[in-house]
Amino acid sequence: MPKDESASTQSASEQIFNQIEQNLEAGGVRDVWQNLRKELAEGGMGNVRTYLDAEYQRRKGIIQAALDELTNQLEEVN
Amino acid sequence: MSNETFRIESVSIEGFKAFTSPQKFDFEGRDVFLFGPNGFGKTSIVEAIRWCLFGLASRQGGIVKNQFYNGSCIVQIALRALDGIWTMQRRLRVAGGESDLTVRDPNGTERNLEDVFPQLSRIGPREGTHVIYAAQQPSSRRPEADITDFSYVVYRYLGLEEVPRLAEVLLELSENWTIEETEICRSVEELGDHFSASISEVDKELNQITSNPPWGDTTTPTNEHTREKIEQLIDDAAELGAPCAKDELEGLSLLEKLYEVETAIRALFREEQTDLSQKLEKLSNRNEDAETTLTNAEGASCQIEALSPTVQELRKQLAATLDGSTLDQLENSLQQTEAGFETSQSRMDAVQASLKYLEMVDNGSGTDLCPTCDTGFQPGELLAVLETLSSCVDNETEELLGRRDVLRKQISACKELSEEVIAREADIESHQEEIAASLEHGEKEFGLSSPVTLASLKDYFESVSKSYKDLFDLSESKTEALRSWETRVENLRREVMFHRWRSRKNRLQNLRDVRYEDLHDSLRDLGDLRNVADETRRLLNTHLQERLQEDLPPVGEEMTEVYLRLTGNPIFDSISIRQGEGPNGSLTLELRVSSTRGSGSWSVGQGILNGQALNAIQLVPYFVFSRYQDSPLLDLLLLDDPTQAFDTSKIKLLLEELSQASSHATLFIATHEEDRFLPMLKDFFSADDVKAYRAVGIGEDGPLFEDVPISV
Repeated sequence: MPKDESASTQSASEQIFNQIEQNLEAGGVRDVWQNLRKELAEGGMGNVRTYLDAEYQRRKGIIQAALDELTNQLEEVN
Repeated sequence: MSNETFRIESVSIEGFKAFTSPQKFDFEGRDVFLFGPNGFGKTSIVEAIRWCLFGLASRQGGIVKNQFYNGSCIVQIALRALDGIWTMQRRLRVAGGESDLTVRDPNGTERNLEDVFPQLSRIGPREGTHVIYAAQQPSSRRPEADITDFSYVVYRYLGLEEVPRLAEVLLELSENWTIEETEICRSVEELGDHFSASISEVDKELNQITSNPPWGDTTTPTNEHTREKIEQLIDDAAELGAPCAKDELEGLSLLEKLYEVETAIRALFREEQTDLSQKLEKLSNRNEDAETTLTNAEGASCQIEALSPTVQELRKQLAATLDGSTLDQLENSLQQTEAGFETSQSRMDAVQASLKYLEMVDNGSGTDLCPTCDTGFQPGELLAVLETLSSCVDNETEELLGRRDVLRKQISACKELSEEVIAREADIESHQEEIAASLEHGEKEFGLSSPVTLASLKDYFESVSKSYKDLFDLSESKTEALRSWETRVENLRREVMFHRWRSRKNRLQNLRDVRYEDLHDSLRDLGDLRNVADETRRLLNTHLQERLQEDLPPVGEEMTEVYLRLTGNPIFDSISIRQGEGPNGSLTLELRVSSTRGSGSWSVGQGILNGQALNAIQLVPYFVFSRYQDSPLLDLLLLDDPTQAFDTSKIKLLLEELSQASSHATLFIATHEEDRFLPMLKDFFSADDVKAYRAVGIGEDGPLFEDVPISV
């Protein structure tokens, strides 16, 4: 396999990513996927991890805040 | 000579393995061949370079240190680059422990390994792609570097490396999230349980109230209705005179108002009850006194009434016993009788004495002389007289004795009766005194008008008793009234509590039905992100598998070509790459050998290859894939005895591959087969591009090497 073909094989990942994106319906999953690709393109796997972890922490934070608030309200009612 | 960025200019070794003193090897950026028998220190140099680059995976650094060297163990590699000489120095201090690596640029400035050689940093001590380390070891064991990273090498070659890496990141995150999610779910479920427990507790309180509703048979009051009832209670209490001003209750909660009203009502009743109690106590004492006084007087009167007939009867008996006489008369008669009895007794004594004398003096002649006057007398006659007299005296004495006894009895009976009469009359007198004292007490203590009588005393007592009863009834009615107020307050308090419990239940249900459900929605959002990660990873793996089905066969063919060039193995003449699944669901690639003469394939590690083939196949990935790397910073092919069990003919094939590899990599080859390598070096390498050394023994400072010229 000639070395100059590595450029085209380098895009094999992108091809798979594009295929996946085409198969995803519009919605939350597609949004997350697109953000994930954007982070991958901009900063590599580290950015992907950071983005997903931040998104997870954001959602977890919402739950934790709701959990704390509800716990406080329960104590207040009691 | 290749055109990669870094080449090894020199290696300095100090206190490492066989090196007891510092030694420096100037390789001048050329490919290096180290010849020499086993045990002469070739491997020490190879391992020194590898240790400097990677350190050790898990073993303590002390294992590389020369035990006879007192200083630190140091290996420094000088790397020639376009901008000058860089240095990489790994040091294991005397104290041992972990080694540390220092990278300095040509200006001597310390630099981070990750910044200068990110791939070295990523590879770590157990991996190798651009740098292949083939350790000298038994042929049945795989080298620790090249094949380990085989999957990544292939993925990178195919331009797919981001796909499995992304899948791995997603898997790792998903697994971490799952653990956290379980914990969060547990917290959410616990909160749900707390809600259920709280609602259950409230239900219990509500049931306790509604099972005996304070509002009776009427419909369940509204909160407003209860409020109105409390306001009415306050008005009624004020009307009653309870000291609680309505305006002072403004701003208080309903329960506080009830408490204030209840306190005021109790204070009011307490004041009245205190007054009533004092009066009751006073009346009770008076009643008791009157009762005692009356009882005493009436008792004494009854005693007098009972004694009077007795006294009369006693008097009657006394009169009958006296029989018309008086006691004095009877006693006189007794005295007289007793005197007569004594006289009669004297006579009887004289008669008896006379008789006794006569009997004594009677001589039987019929006549005796009086001893006094000597007058003659007839004893018989005298004796007869005396006997008659004795009989008379005896009769008289008997009569007197009988009379005396009768009188004595009569007197005794009279005395007893008389004493009895006197005693009873004394009793009557005592009772009369008691009555008089009671009446006097009534006059003095009760203020009764004189003359006080038993009747007036009785009237007074009845009057006091009635007053006491009336006051007692009043006190009881007051107590009952207070109880009624308290019941009214308590019922209203229970109504307020009912509204509070009901309100609490509504709030709890609302929180549970709305907010808690929101929490569940958020939890689903969190799970959705994990599902996205899982679903995306599944899609990545699916597409990756599809892609590999197309891309792997040509790669296998190319590897087979190199493999056959190196080994010419007539039995296992084909190499393929098979997809597999790692323990956590990740896709792995496995190098397998097969034969065009039959079906089936075998893993390289299954022991079906001989030593030559196994050693060769370990080199194949490097020869195939290293050609297609994108301008690696440091491309080093570091091989220690790569041709164990190789035929001589295969040495030539290996040198041919190495020659091609030297176009992009720095070769560092250690082998004990100088006789088979050296003669052919000139056929594949320029003398300017290669330096060769020969290990000639172990001296005081460590391995001894000499330059070996390459014949052209």
